[in-house]
Amino acid sequence: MPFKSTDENITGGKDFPDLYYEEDNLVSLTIDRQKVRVEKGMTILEAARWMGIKIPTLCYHEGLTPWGGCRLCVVEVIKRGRSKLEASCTYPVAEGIQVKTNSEKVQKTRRMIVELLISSCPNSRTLQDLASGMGITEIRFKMEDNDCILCGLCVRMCKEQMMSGGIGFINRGAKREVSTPFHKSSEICRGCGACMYICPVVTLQCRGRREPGDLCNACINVCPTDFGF
Amino acid sequence: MDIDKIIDENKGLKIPLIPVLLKIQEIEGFLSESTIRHVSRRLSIPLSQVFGVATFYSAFNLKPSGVNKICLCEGTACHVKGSTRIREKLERILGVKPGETTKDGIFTFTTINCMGACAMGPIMKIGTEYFGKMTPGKVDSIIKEYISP
Repeated sequence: MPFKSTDENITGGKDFPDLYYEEDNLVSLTIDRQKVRVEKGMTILEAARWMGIKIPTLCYHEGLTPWGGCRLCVVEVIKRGRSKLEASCTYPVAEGIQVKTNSEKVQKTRRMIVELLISSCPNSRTLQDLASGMGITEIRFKMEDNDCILCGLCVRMCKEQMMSGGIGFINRGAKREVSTPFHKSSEICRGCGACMYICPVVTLQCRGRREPGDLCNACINVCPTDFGF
Repeated sequence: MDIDKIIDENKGLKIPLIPVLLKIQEIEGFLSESTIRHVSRRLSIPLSQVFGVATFYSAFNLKPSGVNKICLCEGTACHVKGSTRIREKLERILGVKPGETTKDGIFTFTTINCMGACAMGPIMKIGTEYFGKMTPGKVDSIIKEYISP
């Protein structure tokens, strides 16, 4: 149990057995004006989720190594009076830092990221839901119809959980893509389908009424339970 | 086998993949599919990762290249000083586009985004020799030297 509130009145100081927290192993920081002490080596995302603060993520998964590719989990980290946008899934907690997970700057950046992602993969339900959740009603970029946002979930899933490593990133820059070596079917792929299962783009297709390749926004004013997901 | 020797020499490194691939390329000139498969097997790194590294870095080429590698700088400074005209001239003389090898296998023509020698721009490199302050007029004589030594 890595969490301990600094406020002695809440915990009474004795709620957790001493066994669970060794003083040397704790780091105190402020997340959204709340002071917390968490274990060293945790990331800001883990600490915030521990506290129940929601930070949207795409390329993060508990069972896989943090990647920091989608940048959707950006937070404002204030260190020595300077504020900086950092990907919370790869930023380790540090003594005395101040974190804002939902400031105006963060929201603006996240909306921009979702806009850019949706303009490349408008058919993904995950992305359309994110856009509706953030209240994005307009995409200012040219819409494309790709089926990959290069989040790397499938690559890490294949390598780390399925112990296969059949697919990987190839090329770089604008030509970067996920593929098998030499574009030939891989000998070590067992066809387990874990890459498809974890993909946020191809498995969940947006089924709202919309023009193909457009922003959906069907769920923007609807309660999720009414919509019949 | 040479490749096995290189792999054995570099096996102790923390991340042996890039040094191994670079040294193999030095000997063979390029990385063939069988070489990449062999390296992956010997270093027990997934083939997808080895292939990813080999395609990521522009230092590696997967196709056999010509004897002389022509490298033209197209960085900002060289571009301003007219490297586009030199590229057009080279394309016309060699009959290939950047990234391709001539049919006789003498030249491979590539472009680079900055060589770090902007004061000498527009700059061109053939093998390990540098030609600074290039003009389209100079291209002919330089290429001729390499065709008939």
